[in-house]
Amino acid sequence: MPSARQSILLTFLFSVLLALPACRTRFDDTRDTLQAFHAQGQYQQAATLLDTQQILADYGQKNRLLWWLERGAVAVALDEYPFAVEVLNKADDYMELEREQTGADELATWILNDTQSPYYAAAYEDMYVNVLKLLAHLRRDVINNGATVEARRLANKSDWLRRRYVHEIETLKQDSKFADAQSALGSRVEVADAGEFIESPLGTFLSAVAFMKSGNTNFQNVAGQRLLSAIRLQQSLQTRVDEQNFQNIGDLDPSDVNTLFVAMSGRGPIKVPQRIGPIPLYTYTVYFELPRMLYGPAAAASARAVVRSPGSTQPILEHPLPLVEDLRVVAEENFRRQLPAITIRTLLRASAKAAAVTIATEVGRKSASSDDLQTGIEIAGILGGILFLTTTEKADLRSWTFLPGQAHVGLAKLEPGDYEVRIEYLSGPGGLLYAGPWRPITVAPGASALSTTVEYWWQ
Amino acid sequence: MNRQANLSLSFLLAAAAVVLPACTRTREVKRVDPGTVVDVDYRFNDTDARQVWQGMSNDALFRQWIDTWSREHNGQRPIIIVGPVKNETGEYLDSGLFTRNFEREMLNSGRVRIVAARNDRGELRDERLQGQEWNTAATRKIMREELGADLMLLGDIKQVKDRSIDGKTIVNYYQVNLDLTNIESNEKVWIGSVEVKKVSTERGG
Repeated sequence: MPSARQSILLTFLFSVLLALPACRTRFDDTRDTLQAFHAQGQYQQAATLLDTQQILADYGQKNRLLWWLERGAVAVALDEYPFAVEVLNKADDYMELEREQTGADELATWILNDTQSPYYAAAYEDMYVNVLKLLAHLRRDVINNGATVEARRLANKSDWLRRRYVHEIETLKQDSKFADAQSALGSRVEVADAGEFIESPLGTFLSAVAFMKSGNTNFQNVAGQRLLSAIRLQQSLQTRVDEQNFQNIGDLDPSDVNTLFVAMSGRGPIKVPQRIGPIPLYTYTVYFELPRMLYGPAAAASARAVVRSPGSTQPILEHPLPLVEDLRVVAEENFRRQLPAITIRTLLRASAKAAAVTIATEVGRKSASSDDLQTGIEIAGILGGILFLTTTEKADLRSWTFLPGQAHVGLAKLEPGDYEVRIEYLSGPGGLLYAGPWRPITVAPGASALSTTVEYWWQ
Repeated sequence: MNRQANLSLSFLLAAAAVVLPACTRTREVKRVDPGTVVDVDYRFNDTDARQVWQGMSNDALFRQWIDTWSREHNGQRPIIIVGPVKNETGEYLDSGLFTRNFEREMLNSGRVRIVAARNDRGELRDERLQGQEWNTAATRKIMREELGADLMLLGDIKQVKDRSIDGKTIVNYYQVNLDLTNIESNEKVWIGSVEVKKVSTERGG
């Protein structure tokens, strides 16, 4: 039987040792730096940083998926489309097979926190990896065995994710832990969840275009219908997307359009900690953190594509680009599908930790020989418990930093030939906020031809 | 004491969980027969491509259409050109993995003739054109003497992929369809189809 002093020491040692992994690391600093680069549109610097051996080592095996996602999105922002596809393919292949924690991961997340696990993509990230690849293929004019492959993957994945999260919430609701968590959390956190997984409207729009140009009318029509459904779901989340702008995409003939404009802007959401507690449970108190999505900015109220002949100063076309998706809203809504499971796991873990500290303190207190020592142990237990819980209960804030915030799109028909295109981002009243560089495009003859312009403004 | 033992056990488990991912991994490379079946995952792989070209060429050579063609064309062998094979799957597939071998098997059977596909014609025509200026008269090739194909090989690859709710079981079905169509009349003279089905189940973890 250890002495009371040993009990105090044990309690502290246990708390401190378990708290160690929660210390801030260089990986955390790198994530902050990348966010700063994203906020300033410094993608070349972000690419250079991500490519250094030190940063690769910091990401390691545990966070390699996150590295692929970041590097792929940075490559898209830098117009490095073949490399973007190569890197995002690695991420996609990994996500396809590595969706669930291993036994060791689960053990680590149950004992410490969710950050101990290798990075598994959130459902919205799983979907956007295909959307970015779809965009990259269209930009490179690789429709068959390129854009159409991603379009099919996206549809298949979205169907499965929708089914999966409906099933998951139904299963959770039948579990007694769900009711316990609801009653413990009260109004602090919303555990009961309504709504369904939203397929990316940008992804379905690009899918419809890819199928149209590949001559697959049937799939084009289906993608057009799915786009309208996704927009309607998105509208319920108070976005400015108007389905009237996309009514006929499923029925367009390939010869109706030959130019695609995609204007990405703003920054996608990041995860920030939401502190929950103190929650009194039985004889102990629970504190923990949950990840909450924080929107990035998206200043552009609208966008337009300006087309001119090479060398000319007079535009021959000013084409409005309607908003098709607010990626921040769709990402947050889809992340909500995962939150009930995260919340319940975190609550149970924090409760178990609090109970363990309480029991350890009680054992030490009872073994103490004097009242003073008992009081000392009690104070040490309370302080150690708070230290232990607050330092180990860290929300997993890892997420795909370099996602854009919103997407405006448009299709037009131009006579075959060479042009220059510039994407302009406008404020609510119509003032020019940002104009991209003039980009040369060549519109080829023939119904299957498609020239794609992609612009990205980070504000 | 039991509770403290539990605490110690928890600590050990936590430490093990933190240390486990740091274990080193090594990779061994060995040379194997290209015919060896190695399924790393459930996607279309070299074994599937082999299954497709072997199945297709066996079927195409076994059926009577070549004899029928020769009989109807004064004993001439049909001339085939390879056209596009549409990838209608959610995977990046190089149809050349099986069309090339299909071409080879058909040509080596001696029962058909094969002309260069569209992608290769440009290089050949360019070489011929260059030769008009640079080759000796004796070796210079005549322009506009290309052999016209009788039949075009067209096809598609379709896929049905299903995944269990927990994501641990994936069923992947591919159907590869090839057909030979008379370029003049649009009549199909041969249709071949090979199916591949794979079930991948994640165990343990």
